[in-house]
Amino acid sequence: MTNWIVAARRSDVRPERVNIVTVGNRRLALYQIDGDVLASEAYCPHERECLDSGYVENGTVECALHYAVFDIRTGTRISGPATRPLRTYPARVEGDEILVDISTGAAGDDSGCITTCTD
Amino acid sequence: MENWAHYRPHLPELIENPYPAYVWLREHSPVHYVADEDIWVLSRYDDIAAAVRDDRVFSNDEGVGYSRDKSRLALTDIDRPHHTRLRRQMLNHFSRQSVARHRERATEIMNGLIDVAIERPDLDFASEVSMPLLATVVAEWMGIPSKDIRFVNDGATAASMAMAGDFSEPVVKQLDCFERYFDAMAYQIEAAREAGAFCPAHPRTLSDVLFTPTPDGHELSHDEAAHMLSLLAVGGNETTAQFMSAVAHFFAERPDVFEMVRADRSLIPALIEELLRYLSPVQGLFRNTLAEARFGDVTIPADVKVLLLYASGNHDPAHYADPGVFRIDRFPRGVGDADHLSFTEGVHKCLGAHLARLIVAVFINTLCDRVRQIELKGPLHRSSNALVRCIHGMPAHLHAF
Repeated sequence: MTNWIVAARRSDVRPERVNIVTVGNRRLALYQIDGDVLASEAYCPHERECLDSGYVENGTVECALHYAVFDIRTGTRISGPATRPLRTYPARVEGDEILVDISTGAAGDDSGCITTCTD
Repeated sequence: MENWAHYRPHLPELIENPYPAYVWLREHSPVHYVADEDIWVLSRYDDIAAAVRDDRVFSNDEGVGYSRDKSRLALTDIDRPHHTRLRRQMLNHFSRQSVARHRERATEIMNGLIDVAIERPDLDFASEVSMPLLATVVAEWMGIPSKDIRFVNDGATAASMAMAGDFSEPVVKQLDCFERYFDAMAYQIEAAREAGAFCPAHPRTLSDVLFTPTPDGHELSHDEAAHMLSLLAVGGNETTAQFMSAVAHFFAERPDVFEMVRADRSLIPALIEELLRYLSPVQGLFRNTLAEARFGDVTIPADVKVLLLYASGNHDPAHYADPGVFRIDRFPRGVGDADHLSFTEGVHKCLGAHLARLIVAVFINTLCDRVRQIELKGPLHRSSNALVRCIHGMPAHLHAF
């Protein structure tokens, strides 16, 4: 069952950047890549470093701590120390709202995180 | 195929071309034991990648060179969790966003060096272009006076030689002076901080950053800071400078690639990543095992040094098609596609990787702008360093437009 939630206004999501939002008890990273809106968990799956200081380029995001690189569309780890992919979520735009389907992600994504995101 | 069962890193015949030995190692002895040095050698991409990601077994607490010294306290010599804390302290200064601020100054320095070097009949490209470009950028960033740049650079070379197992008297003496220099520098910064000469919240130089408490309140000891200063100087002076000379040598031998990149600068990120793989400036570095590690039917025992041959992994046909061929489309998105081992992998992925990429991009852009042709005027002079493929002399003529 899908669970679409309003995550942000599109106008608040900067292109080619990591945009961290808090929805309920969950933190998500939103991206605008080539006009598409994409969503992932907010923390690098390696050591739970918040991706807010990550670097977005050519559809990839790089964690600032150990330079793990992930494909934002698929979550695939391209390089770096992470042993699992970045969890991604379906996202769509309705008007100026960005909706994210969080049904595919486990609850409590930010449990055990060791850094604080800057919302 | 020549039999390289006698392989050990310091064979003189490896200085000019180590790659035939790597082919033999991958095919016949991928987990190789060098008895007279009591070291193990991994040469396949998958094995190296697995080792560097398993930092609970493949430790850095004896550093990345031949030494079995556990007293060093820089990033390359420590394991998690302390490693993570120290890395987090530095990351805002080495991120891709942060290092971009060095572009303008690096371009200015590179143009100044080309002004002096262009059309010179007696130019040594390695010592007069590659080395001073990087050394000046790093020295200014670290707060090292310009009068000391040559001394620091020579010390960094000695440190790199010692890391590769050269403990000859001149190397040890120079390394000792180098270490004392940064010990003194650490005392100077400590004194400045205590005198209120700089606010830890607004460090003036990268060196000051080391005397700023980490986000969780940890302060580095004097030795930790001094060791980090010398590591930054070594990392900042040695490997990237060698790589830039190798890139210029590559352009001299492949003017078609030089022309292609000159015509389309958007290719530079992909070019840099492929050249990092193809030229592999760091041939390999060590880890030490904290437990047994099994690769196929071979078990590496605990408490031994293991050389991870990154250059061999970068040329492993099981991972890269046509590894001996330069292909500009191998990593089309640049960093986003690059899975080579030249900056290692895992938690110890080179902190300065993005600064190195930025400086090399400035270097290539400026060569494209100012130099029509790089003509080699004599053979390369390579050092005997077994871990870093060093070019210490490169007679060349830079032809202007």
